[in-house]
Amino acid sequence: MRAYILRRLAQSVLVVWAVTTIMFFMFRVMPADPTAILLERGLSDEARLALMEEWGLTGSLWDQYVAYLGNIAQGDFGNSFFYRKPVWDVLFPLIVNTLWIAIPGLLMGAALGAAIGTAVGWAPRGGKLERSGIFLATVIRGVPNFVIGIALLTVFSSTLGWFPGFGMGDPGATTGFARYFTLDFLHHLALPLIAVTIYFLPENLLLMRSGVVENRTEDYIELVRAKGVPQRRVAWHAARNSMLPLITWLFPALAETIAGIVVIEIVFSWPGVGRELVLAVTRQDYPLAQAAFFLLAVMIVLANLAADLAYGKLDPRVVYK
Amino acid sequence: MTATFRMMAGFACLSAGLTAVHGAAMAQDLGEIVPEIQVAYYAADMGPMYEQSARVLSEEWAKLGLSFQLQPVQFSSFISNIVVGGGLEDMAVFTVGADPDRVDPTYWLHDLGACGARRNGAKWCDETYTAMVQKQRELINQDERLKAVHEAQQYFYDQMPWWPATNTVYGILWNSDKWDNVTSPAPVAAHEGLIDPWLSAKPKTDDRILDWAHYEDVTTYNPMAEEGAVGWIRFVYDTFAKNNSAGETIPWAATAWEFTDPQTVKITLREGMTFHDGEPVTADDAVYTLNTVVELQPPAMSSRIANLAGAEKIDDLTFNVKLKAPDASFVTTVLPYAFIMPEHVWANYEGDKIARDVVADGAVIGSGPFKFKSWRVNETHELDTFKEHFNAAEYDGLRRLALGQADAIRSAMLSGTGDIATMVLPVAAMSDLAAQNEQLDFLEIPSHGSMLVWLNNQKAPFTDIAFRKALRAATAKDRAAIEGWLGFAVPAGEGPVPKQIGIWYNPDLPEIAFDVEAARKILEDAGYGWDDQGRLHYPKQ
Amino acid sequence: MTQATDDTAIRGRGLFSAMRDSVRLLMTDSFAVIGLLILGLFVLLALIGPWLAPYEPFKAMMTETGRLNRLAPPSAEHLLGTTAFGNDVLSQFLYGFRIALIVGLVAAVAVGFISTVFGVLSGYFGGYVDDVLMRLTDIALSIPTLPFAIVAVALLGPSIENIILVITILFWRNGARIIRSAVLTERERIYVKWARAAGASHAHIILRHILPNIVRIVFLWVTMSVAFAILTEASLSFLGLGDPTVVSWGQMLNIAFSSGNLRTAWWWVVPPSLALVLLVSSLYLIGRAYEEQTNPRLRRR
Repeated sequence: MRAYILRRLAQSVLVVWAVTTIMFFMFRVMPADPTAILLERGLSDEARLALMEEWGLTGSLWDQYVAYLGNIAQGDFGNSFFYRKPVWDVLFPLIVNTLWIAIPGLLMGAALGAAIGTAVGWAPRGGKLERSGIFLATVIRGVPNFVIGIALLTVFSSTLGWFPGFGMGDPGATTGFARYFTLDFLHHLALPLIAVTIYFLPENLLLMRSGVVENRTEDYIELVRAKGVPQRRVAWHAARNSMLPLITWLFPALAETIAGIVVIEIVFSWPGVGRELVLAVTRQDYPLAQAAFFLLAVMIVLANLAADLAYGKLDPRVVYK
Repeated sequence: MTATFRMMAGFACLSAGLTAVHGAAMAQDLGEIVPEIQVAYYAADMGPMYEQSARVLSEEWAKLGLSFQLQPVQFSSFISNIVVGGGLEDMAVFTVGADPDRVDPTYWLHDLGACGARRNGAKWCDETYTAMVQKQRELINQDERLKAVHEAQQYFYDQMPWWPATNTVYGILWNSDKWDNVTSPAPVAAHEGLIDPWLSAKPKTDDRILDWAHYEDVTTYNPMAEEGAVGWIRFVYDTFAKNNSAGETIPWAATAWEFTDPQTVKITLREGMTFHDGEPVTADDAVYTLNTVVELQPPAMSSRIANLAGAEKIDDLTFNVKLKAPDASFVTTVLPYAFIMPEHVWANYEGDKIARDVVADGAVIGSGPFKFKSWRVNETHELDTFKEHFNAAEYDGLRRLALGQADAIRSAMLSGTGDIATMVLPVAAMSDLAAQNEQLDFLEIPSHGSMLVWLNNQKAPFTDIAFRKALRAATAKDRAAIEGWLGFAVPAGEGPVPKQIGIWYNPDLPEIAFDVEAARKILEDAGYGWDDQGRLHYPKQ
Repeated sequence: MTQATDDTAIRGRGLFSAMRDSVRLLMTDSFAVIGLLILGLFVLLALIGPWLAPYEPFKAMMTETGRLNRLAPPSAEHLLGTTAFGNDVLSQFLYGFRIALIVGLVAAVAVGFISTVFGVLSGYFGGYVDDVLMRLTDIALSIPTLPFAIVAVALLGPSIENIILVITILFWRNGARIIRSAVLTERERIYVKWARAAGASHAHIILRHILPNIVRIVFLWVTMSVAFAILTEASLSFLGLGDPTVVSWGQMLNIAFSSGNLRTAWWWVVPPSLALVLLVSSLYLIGRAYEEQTNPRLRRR
């Protein structure tokens, strides 16, 4: 077991290194020039060179790469070109904001999906409930997340006026950590959270339903049923055994949520990592974009690792080797 | 792998028809065919105006028997390759912004047109012209300078190396239920370094905080590290002068300035100013700031301070600024740009001053009309009105909401969360919103920002003055303004200097009307001809 | 065991007959049929859309008074109204069909091909090949999809070719994994062992035994890839990273969004949104039917 964990850890480090390298070269090889905005305002050649040096963009590609890896190993991702300060100082509060919609959204999507999925899976095959459940879930799964966002905003913000149309809080509202526990924040949180939930619900639902359908024909379920246990409790048995794939799916899903939440953050003007990544890319702010990307990649690697280990814990049939 | 597309064959047919009218030249009388011309323009990430404009302009130019290939180029590559990199292939259609320092003609005449000037991407080099535009800069006497500036425009107009097509119209959308006296900063876009509309706005209700629904975050509160000259921190740090909407440079932190010789300016500071921490503002602070930037040469400031040699104190309120070369544009470009930092906050700082994180250090101290309150990254900035300021706003504070997209700005303005919007939301949309909503008002800002048509003056056929003039006559400024800019641009005047900057524009340049027939006549007279398919050929060698 | 079945076991079956079987099975699933019908309609519109379009997609519409006809609600002249730039919405919408399907199909074919090659090589041969390929997919799987696409397209330049390239780079990895595990199962089947024993070549076994039996999984993955590709292109275009020279639905929405008309100009926003939903959902409906087929325990008894 320990050997397995060690090996997986080593593998993960390797993967993170590879992703970092790909990222580094992508940014350096491409022609985009981070000094463009200053050039337009008349930056001189010497001043430009000085800036490039300050930003670590001079010297051979290899030297830049070695320096970059060295810095990352020490946890230093450099300074943002745009904000002129360490990228972590910029990113840290944004990570918290992103997690605020990612985790509850995913959990709500999973919980609701599991509940409805069980009902659909347990319903008579070919019946109305099953067929409409599957059909609706499949169709909703096909709705791009920005369309979900647009629809929610149009209906609940512009038309009905129930929720604010953008941002994370009214200007001038509580600042600091306390803001996360104000009504104002929850009011702003509602729509993006619903968008993430809707985005995840159908996939969960279909996954759960498949699991329940597979399990309901297992012998032990027949046994429980034969003992005269009420339907609802039998369904619960089948559902419990279908949770396994769902739980292992949750970890990688979380990572993908955080990555895929970019669009939702943009639509709702939610100040998170994804929105910052898009802005950093358009501003040619390499260090910030690289760090944001690195962060997302590490989350995915960790999530995959956790999923693998959890799978082993939950399912005794898995043998570590 | 840039996507390109060719102009439709339809234009060729149309030109063939026109040729028939003129009578096509015999094939043996013609030189080589004029090859396809590439038109570079800002890619759609800068808005669809550029593509639309490039498309309609090329449609008309195509009637001269030319074919075009449209090539979108992203902003940063456009600047580094084409504007300063000398990489213009054939033609370019793009805009330069309505920056405050561009109210001085030097940018238009010299920076975009002199031999060897950094942003002379049209690669036109004329020694006589270059000498003219360098000379005008050194003429401290305004009348003499004006004459030289007008002469340079005439010379440029006769050569026609490039020309402006339209001048951009910006807009301000504001909540007129809550705010009064929102004034236009025209011809400059609503930048933070200006008095209008910021300091003149008056609150009508108890909500005494002006919320600015903006696109993006502020980079830094360190004045030496801030990109460009127009940023938010000009609210916090006072400049020596301000440019007003009448096109004048008016006293601000300085009450007077005079050239004591062509390379020395004597500046007198306003009495009784204090920094946000209560310390008085003296000539020592101004001299310290100027000498520090001269010594450190912060890259972000390099273009504005290149000509500064240093400063020396005369007494508590007066000091001299030394220039490396005589510069008449100093007053309009440097005085409204250069700022005052408190010596007592900066002198003892040990680290790299340009990289100093002033927010973390609690060192956001200036003497400007607003003082720093808080910053939530990519969300909001809050400034409090500095009541002791000589021109303090009548309201209590200013907030900038970094909303990141037009839709949120619109939503903020409609819900009343935002009080004023100046950018990102297209001007046409601002105007629509004001027309549809009682509480919103719209102000048009006709600016000196210009959409330029550039030619590669070092490559045939653009080396030929007749060809340039023909293209100029076939430039559909009106179509570009209406179809490209939805009516929120006006056809530009003649010559390189925008007419929006007032006296500096030479009104005597004869207007060239849009006329494709006349353009074809110019080409024909210069010996160009058309083949059976209506394609333009060079004159026979 | 008769001689005949023995022969079939060694010869395996043709790829095409396997595909035919697969399609036939698909037609028994009513949701898949709905999906196929919608998809068929979309393909038809993609073929004739530009021909049906009443105007050039970027042509500026003028009113009689010489003003730009902006943001006009639907009328007889402009069935779906006009955009903020005076373009005809219906024409742009119709051109969008072709772009969506080109992106979807080209990317999916590329993804399907690469996934299959990698999956089969890795699953069938195992050993070093498998190790190397699987480490490669490990790395690829750790790349956050949309952020990668955003960065890559912004850096490479926004063109349809680049968008397709990026989508291909992104989605082969999951496919390769899924196909590999299917190949692993097939490889252990008794008839493959027989075929080996009877002296069949690797190529023969892969082509006649392995591929026909995993064809459903490949189809499933290709179908899903079409959907992913369309969604990714739409998301990129919506974020303003689309190809500016073509009209795609994501881009129409982006322009509505960035010009501040998203919540009012319904005639401009609803058609592309609805088309995206219908197209992607129809693909998922088809994909779901394959899923039920490939998992025998889900099949109805």
